[in-house]
Amino acid sequence: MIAMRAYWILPNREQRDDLLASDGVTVLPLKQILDPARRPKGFSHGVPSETLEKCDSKAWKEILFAQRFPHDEGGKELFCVSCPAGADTTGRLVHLGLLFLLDRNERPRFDIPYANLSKEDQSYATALLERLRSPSDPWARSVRELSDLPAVSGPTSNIAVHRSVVRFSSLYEAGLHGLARRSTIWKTPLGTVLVLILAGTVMAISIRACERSLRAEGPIGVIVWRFN
Amino acid sequence: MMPMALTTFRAFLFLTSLPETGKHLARLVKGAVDWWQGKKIAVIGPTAAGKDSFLARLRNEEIPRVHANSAMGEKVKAFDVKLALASHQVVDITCKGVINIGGETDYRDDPSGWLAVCQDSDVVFYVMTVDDLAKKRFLKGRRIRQDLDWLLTAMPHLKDSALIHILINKIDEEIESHTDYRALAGELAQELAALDRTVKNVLHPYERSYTGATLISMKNKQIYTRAINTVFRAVYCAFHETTGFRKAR
Repeated sequence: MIAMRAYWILPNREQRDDLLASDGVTVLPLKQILDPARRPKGFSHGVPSETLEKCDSKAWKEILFAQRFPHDEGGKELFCVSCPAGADTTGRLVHLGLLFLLDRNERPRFDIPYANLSKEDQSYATALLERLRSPSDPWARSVRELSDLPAVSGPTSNIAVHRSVVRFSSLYEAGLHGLARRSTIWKTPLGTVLVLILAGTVMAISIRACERSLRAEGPIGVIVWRFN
Repeated sequence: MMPMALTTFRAFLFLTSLPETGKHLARLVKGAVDWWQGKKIAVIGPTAAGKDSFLARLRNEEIPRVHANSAMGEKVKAFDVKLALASHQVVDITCKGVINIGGETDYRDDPSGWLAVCQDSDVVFYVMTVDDLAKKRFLKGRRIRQDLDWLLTAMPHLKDSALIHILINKIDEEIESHTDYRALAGELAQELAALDRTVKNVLHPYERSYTGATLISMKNKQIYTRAINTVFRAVYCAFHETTGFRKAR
């Protein structure tokens, strides 16, 4: 049984008011597939501006940005890959996306039909699918790594996004020289570090106070805790 | 390029010197500068209306020649807005908590989209274009009107003191495509009055949060500088009016 549902998120070349999607046969508004009210926070239909700014504009065509969101109430996991796909009517860069709605333990397969897409979009779709299957493309590898991860507990992306409204766990950092693997060391948020330091200090003071109390009040068999 | 920009600016000055379009332009006052310090702003509006360009202008940056259709909501670092006053003074206003987001209705209807952007804001800038105005896209069922309807539903979730200002971008293009500026001024005056009425009707009972609409050009720096001073002052004046009204109530 085929459970995977895959759609193209089409580039908004005409500066339409709504985003369009295609299952390879029919074109329909993206909101019919993915209700905006149920879209996970931080969902992106394309490459974030932050990533574009980090990379040289000549290298934009190499960028692949992927996101993965844990299962929603309906039990579907959301996986999305996008890439720059030319320009719109006023020369702004637009994006082509591939959206997967997956069941538990399901992995995306990059073999989606694209015959009904416009000729311009077809060329970007072909290139994207070829790249996603290519073993030598580092960006495509980062996308596959993301899809191969065991079930994720929060929003995850192949490239770090620091300006998103939600926090993403990411595998790589994008820069002028391509991709760099991020350290896997758990990065403690500053707030947590401060709380731990504070807790340690309080504990040390308490132990010290307790020791003093034991020394002073020991003979009568009562432990008195003094906090200075 | 420059002579054309200058001519456009002169025509803009003419348009704004006429009473009906002129009320959309005035000078900044000192009190406004103090009030604006550290205010949170949200910039929303349809696709390609000029939101990114407005942010670039606010940050005193040139509009990027190549820019992208915003694919996701992204936080923008706090920045200082340099406002050049008519008296050659420059004042700094700090903008905090700006989030840049796309204009497609998908973002508007997404709870983590426009609503999340506007929720903590002191001032919401809605950016549309002169073309939207001329083609009456503020009438029922059309894009601007749908956005206004959305704003009405969003109002209860915004700060009590939140203000809304409409920026009507790309006035330079309209000026450049006209030669009879008096006729253009007449047309604009009628359209602006109709827009004003619609916004007030649609936003009722929150119409006091609406601080007006200003013709602007993100592309033409002179028009932008002059218009943004009007905007900052209009919002400040409206704040005092609404505060007085709330106290009276």
